[in-house]
Amino acid sequence: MTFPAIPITNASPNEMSALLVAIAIQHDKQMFVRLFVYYAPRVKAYLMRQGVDAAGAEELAQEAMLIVWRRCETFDPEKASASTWIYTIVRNLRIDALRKQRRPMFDAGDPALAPTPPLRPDEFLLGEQRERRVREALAQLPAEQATVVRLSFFEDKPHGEIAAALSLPLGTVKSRLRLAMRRLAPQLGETE
Amino acid sequence: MTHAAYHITEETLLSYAAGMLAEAPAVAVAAHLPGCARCRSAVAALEIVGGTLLDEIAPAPMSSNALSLVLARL
Ligand SMILES: [Zn+2]
Repeated sequence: MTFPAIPITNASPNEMSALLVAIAIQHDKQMFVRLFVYYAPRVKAYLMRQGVDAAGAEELAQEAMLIVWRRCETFDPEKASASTWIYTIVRNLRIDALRKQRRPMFDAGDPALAPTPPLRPDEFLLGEQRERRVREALAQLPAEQATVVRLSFFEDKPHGEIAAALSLPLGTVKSRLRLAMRRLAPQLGETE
Repeated sequence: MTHAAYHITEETLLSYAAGMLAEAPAVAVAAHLPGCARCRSAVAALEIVGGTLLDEIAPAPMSSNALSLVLARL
């Protein structure tokens, strides 16, 4: 079977979401290969950026892609893009892996392992609109705010250490984060 | 919309969405979210940031047999 040679590394999030929906309907392994080629190396890079060693990141990336295949029917493009959905799978997988390392007899019913409860239909924008709004807000953040947000995702460090790494006072890091959060999640600024 | 008696701090919501929060506070956040639309929406927005970072990151090549290993397990 052949597929049009789309430039996979530049694929838009929407293309990948459509591909994931198609995989859920058709269970097509060739389509899954395209998804794998796009996401697996990104998942590996992401985990390495978070301090997982290359072998561990490779293994977790393979594991994540298996979960993507097995759970693809639960993907709802109205709620999130494929990238966001896969991000949450990878995040939870890494948390599980760290926990099993520390404590082999972990409790699978632990609420910390539960997925984030879904938004109710009435309480927020449709997934695609929300996705676009957040991505635009992130792209428009002043560089200094974007830097502290990125560091918060990648570094397993308290904000005090991020402040030290950037040679900034802790208060400055915290206020940049707060400003960034209110652009990314405007409802945070509303109810206080 | 449900109104919780207190909210999780922005810093903690960020660490939670990033998967960087320690276990005990993560349990507290997970218990708070079902009753709080505000914090739930914030986590949803931050998870989109995570998805965007995944799209943006420079890929790290997988080992040459990774795809066949995974396909064999589908
Ligand atoms: Zn709350």
